[in-house]
Amino acid sequence: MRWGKILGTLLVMATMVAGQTDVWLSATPPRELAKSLKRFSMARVASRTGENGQREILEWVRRGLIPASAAYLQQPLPPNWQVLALTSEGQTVQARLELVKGYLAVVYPPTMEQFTDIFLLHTRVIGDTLVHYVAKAERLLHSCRNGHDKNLVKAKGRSFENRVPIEVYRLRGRNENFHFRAQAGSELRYRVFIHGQPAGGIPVTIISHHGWQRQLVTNKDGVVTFKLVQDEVTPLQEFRRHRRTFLLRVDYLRPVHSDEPYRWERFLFTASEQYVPTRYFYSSVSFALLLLILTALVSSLGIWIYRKKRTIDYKEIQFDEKH
Amino acid sequence: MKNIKQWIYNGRVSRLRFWVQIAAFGFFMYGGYWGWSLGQNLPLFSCPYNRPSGGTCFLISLQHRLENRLDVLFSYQGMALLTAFLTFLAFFLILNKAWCGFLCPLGTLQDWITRLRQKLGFRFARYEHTTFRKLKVVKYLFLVWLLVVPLLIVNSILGLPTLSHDFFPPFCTICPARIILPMFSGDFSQLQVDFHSTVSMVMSSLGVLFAGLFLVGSFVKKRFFCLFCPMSALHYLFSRGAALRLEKNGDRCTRCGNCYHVCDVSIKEIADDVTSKNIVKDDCLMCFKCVEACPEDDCLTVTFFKLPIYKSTEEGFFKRYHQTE
Repeated sequence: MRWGKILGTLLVMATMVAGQTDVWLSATPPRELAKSLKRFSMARVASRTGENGQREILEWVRRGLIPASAAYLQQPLPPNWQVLALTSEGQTVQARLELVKGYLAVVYPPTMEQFTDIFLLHTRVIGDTLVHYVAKAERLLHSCRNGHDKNLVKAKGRSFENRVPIEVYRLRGRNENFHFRAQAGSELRYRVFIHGQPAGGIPVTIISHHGWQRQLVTNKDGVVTFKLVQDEVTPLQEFRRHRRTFLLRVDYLRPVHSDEPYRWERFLFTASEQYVPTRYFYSSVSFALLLLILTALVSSLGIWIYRKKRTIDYKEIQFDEKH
Repeated sequence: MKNIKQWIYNGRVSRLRFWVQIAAFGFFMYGGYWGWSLGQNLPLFSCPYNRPSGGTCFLISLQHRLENRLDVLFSYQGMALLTAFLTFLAFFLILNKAWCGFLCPLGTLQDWITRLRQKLGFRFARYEHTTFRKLKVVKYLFLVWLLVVPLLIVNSILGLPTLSHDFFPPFCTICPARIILPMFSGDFSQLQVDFHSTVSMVMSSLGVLFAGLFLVGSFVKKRFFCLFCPMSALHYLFSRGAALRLEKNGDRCTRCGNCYHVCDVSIKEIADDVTSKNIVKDDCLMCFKCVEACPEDDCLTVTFFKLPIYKSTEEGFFKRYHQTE
């Protein structure tokens, strides 16, 4: 068992070093822990009660680029990976990496009624390339029980250029409020920052829950617009609670013209967000149900009328036997 | 040996059929849960949209393979179509149309709906002979539709534009099995109208419409959908070469009409035709109810590789009807 863990850790480290791996942060807990963990706020993130009796939020570290089948890491990351959690007002939140019942997770206290950005960061030189690994998750922790009088801070200038080498930031909608949920079919706009500056010409890939991918390039303002695609049919049993994950990924390499001991700088970025099915899906199901019922009713009525017409009422005819 | 034969001939094949249908329904609907699969070229309506299916309908496989450029179809890649077809034929030629009567999940479902109607005491319906003859053409039209449309999606004929890909798969999109069968494994996702284009909206609406008609039709008419089933039409093209056959000795027939009255699909020729030996018609399900209901010795015989395995006997007829009473 111990040798297995050591071997596993070595394998994870080896693949990380080789730059073959994308880790990302997920709000969905592993299947076997799902029932034992409480879901928290409208974001439905997994939470637990910490040792000091305070609630803690858990973001799971996963590997693999298809959200539906990505693995949950069960070994600690190499020690030089950092965790950073920031509120949308720019305050730092204490966050740490921890093995929770055998699964690696970022643990942090809830910061209510605002966005929280959680980053997993790692930078190292591989050969002649400086590689930045950034995994990001953004959660809006809101509960209607807290009221809606607080203003939602939609966008704060990204001011952590020294701490986060690359970031992909969702531009908020005009009417966005605490109840915002990304919906399949809607357009989402993202701005890419490299060292705090909007960066144009960066390829950004969106990957939906079952692995459908699309790559677009940012414009000169660093903005890219995606239409969110739902690549599965939502089961009716999950009519209300259906949430799926999509990933954003950037793998960008650029030359470095300086006296640094490397010639290239590579940015590997992943971000996960959740989305819900489009409301049109439900309407198409409703239309189908309506059509099915109507067809059944009309054809039943037709058969009933047809039968009624062909039924000959009983009529007793008395013959006059005398004539 | 003679006693065993007599015991079989005097038995009720419909009782055997009832249990075989339950087992086959379980296998074809849920076999995938145990990793069982008979492949994707089966001569029955076991829908691939039902995920835990234990084997799927040849028609979708056929449509997929036909959706190709003509030069590709007539190249070595056409081997895929040929292999699929030969697999279908290998399955079909053993059991002939008994695939419909004994194994088809959609057929079984219709039989269960009929039983429900009988329990509820509703009157059944029959087509008039002229209506029957007109309606039986529909399945051949469906067969032509599913053979031609995939080709027209990819190939331009006489310079005409190709059809929209939203027609694909042309029969499955309108097939009631696609909507109804997955429901038995808890998947209701096929019940929807697809609004992403006009073609897909029309096709998916037709699918829902046919599903509604299927449910009501099967309730009042035994094996309602089988009269329109393109698989049945495809079966009939190869039925003559099959191992399992239903034969009639016209000399023994008194034209009492019992066989016609018990026939789920109302095939009149089974009673009227006293000249043909092979009595399997295009709508026949090979359920062998007619053999059970025939009171004449050796008039109707089921053969497998020309060996009689079940035949009508006077003794069996009276035993069966005595049991029913």
